Amino acid sequence: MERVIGIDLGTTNSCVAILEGDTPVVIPNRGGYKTTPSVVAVTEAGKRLVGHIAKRQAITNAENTVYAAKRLIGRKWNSPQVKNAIMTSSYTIVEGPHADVRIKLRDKTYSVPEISSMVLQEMKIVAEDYLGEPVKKAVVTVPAYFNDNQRQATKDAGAIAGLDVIRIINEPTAASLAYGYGKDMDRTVAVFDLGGGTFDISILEIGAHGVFKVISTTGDTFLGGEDFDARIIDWLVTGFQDEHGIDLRQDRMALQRLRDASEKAKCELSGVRETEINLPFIISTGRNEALHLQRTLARPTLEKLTEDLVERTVDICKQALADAKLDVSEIEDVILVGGMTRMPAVQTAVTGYFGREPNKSVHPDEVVALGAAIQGAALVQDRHDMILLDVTPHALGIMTFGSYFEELIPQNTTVPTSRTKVFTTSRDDQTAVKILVMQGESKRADENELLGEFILTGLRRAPKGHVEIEVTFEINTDGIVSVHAKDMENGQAQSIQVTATSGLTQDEIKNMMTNAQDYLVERRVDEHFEAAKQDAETLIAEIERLFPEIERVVGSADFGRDAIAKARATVDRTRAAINSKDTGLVKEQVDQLSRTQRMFKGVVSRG
Amino acid sequence: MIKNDRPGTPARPSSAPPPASIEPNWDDETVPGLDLDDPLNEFDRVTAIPELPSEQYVKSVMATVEDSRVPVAGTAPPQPPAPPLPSSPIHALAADEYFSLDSEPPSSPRDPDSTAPYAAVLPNNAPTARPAAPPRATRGPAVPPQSRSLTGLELADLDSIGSLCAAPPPAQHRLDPRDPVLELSLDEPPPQAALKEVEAGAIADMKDRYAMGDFSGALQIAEGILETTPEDLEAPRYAQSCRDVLTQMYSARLGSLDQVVAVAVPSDQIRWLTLDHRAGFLLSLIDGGITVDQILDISGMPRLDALRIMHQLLEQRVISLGS
Repeated sequence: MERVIGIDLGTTNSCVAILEGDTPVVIPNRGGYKTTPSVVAVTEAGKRLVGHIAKRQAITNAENTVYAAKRLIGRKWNSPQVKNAIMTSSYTIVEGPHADVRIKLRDKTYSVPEISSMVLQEMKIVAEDYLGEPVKKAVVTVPAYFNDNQRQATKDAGAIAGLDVIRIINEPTAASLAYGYGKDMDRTVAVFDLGGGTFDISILEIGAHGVFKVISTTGDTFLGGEDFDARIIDWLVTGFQDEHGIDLRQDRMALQRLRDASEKAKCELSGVRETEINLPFIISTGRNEALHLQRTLARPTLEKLTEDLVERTVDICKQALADAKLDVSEIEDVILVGGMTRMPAVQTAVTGYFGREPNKSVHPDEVVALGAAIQGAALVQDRHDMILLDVTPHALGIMTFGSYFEELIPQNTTVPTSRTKVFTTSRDDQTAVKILVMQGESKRADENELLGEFILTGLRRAPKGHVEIEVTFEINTDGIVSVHAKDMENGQAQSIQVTATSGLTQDEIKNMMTNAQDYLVERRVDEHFEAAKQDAETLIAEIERLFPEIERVVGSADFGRDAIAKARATVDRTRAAINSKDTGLVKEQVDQLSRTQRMFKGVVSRG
Repeated sequence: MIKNDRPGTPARPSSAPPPASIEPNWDDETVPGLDLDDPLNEFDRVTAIPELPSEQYVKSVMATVEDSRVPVAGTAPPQPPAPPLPSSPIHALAADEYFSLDSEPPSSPRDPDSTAPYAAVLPNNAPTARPAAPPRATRGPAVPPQSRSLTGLELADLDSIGSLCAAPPPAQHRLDPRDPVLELSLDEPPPQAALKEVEAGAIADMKDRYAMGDFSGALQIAEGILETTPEDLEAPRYAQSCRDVLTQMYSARLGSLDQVVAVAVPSDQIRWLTLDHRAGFLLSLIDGGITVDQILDISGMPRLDALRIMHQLLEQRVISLGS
């Protein structure tokens, strides 16, 4: 049966998991890490870097390193989030041809789904290396607040990466799925997700028959582990400035080291009471000497430095419960998600607010990916007890007089679905109405996302409220929204079809898919060459080590000299093949080298 | 000589110095036994110390670089230093003088590892290898005639002096021939001319250093020239060629760039080493799984600088390389 991977495509870190038998497992990357930074960079030489390696040069190559692309995915160019990102990002954000967002790296411009596809492709490679077979299908998670365009953009990113994204599921739902896996439960839970860059709190109802309903979700897209790191960096920089009068922020290399060290120290302080931050040769002075930074950070100091950040998470939790119209006592369990929830101060705050110890049965870094993997397996195995129903992530409706939002299809409605409502004219002798199709939960129309608009004309002239217009919303199984408006008296009708868009055309997506495929092929060729080269170099070293011994044993005989000459020729040919970067030729030579090595070893052992 | 057979090394243009001439064990910066702190030493960067008698060494080096051409796309490559003319003082200078130490103070003390551009163009008496004779005398002929000082009237032809005197002065500077300012203008070259002279000297020095195989020194001078004269046509070509050669040289010394780097010094002893912040930064990138190539990619430094520092760290046994 085809394997489906579950991918938690995070703002700062991503994770991939798969169901092995009945057990969901996270797949470690080549470095042995179970999460991979969602960071993409292009080096001066034009080389693409993804993951840890990209993160480690994020400050020294800030202009060409993209982080937190998730904050931009599926957004329109003129959205406030994009405006904010332009102000705060170190990389260049430009307008795309379809009023979408593009990112400039070196001399090339990339769409946001393209950037995310690089991370997804990396996760795909991690899974393929682990499984030893190609992976085609995936379930990808997104925040519960993502609208249709953002979800479509995530799907497009998957397609560009060569993945068929068979389902997009909400992150808190995935976490709940992993938490409730193998248990039959019926309870209300809070998913407290404090990641590297964002904080989300979701209240869910887990039904007895695999029903996972997101009652409310809220958060802060600019609150996460990076803010905690920043406080440590501030502390270190201030201390160093007091001591030496040098501002380490002015040096990119120093800042990169500070960031790496701060994150490391923060993680360590979740397990120990204090840790030493030791950064030798952090900066050179004008007097041709280098200074060292060495400080001990204790857990209470960190807690003091980040007290307000933790408090902010609690305030947002209060908001989420208010939105869900629930009392804190009605929350029956708290699921922790995200690496930052390992911090004892965060756990204490959660315990303090919810009045109960958070659930620690699931790994906070892995739980979302595990849930996605469970869902992926359920979809291909057709296990209906675990299949999440496709629901509308947000309410759908139209704008009415006074800029109010009138909801037709509520949030979390299972698709396909259809709803109808009757409206009337708002002015006397009104002959046309403009139908603005919107998505969101706010009562105010301008706070929701505009999906499309159309005009229904030819209405009968009549006093306001006398002409009735029937508006019907339909969502088919593919998630395509159709809106029909009909004058109930004269049958005059007009309609619109709203398809979620990532801001990319099909042709663009196809081109990007081809480019991604080419990159993958190139990378695989390089990897095969490197592997063959490693084998060849190991064998050459071994053979060269044996040469003196061989010469001693058989060098005096004609056949011995002949064999040695042939072996030297093989070594030379192999070196030439390595230089020419011909993988096939190197592999051929590796076979010959292996035979030579075996023969030499045999001769030496007999001699 | 160890051949540079590292895969992936970009093919050099045919006009460039042949890669085979790169000796991985050869160092263009450090000379065993030379005390760089000795105030009597003029240079903080010493090039190659020839093992051969200096005359032979010069000949061999010249022969090596004879066919070298600085690569350039679409334009004629710069010529290697032309064989000295019989009348040229540099030709007349004895080779042993040329390679002996000069007692003049260093023109610009620098960190030997620094590749930062010179703050200003070097004077034309900046040392190449180990000049002994008064540098002014040795470098004089390298200065193009048009940029030479008119201070020494005997060196200028009478026609040019005549035309200079006959030329009407600019309206705003109508000068009386008896005006001391005019005398001054004849005694001292105008600033532009002086600058050109210095620049020409620097170019000659850059070429000399390149010819002598002091690619680091030539690169520094080329970068200094580019800083003051960005439109210079020769300096970028020399700079690029020097970078190519030095990159190959350090790459060859490091071996395969796919080797994994490890810190060979206990972490509590690192601070007692003599490093700068850039070396400290590269050390901080080493996590036991990273390769040389990856460090070069993420260092944020020019590749050549990173290679040079990695090589130094390896030489100092601060790091080790393995598969």
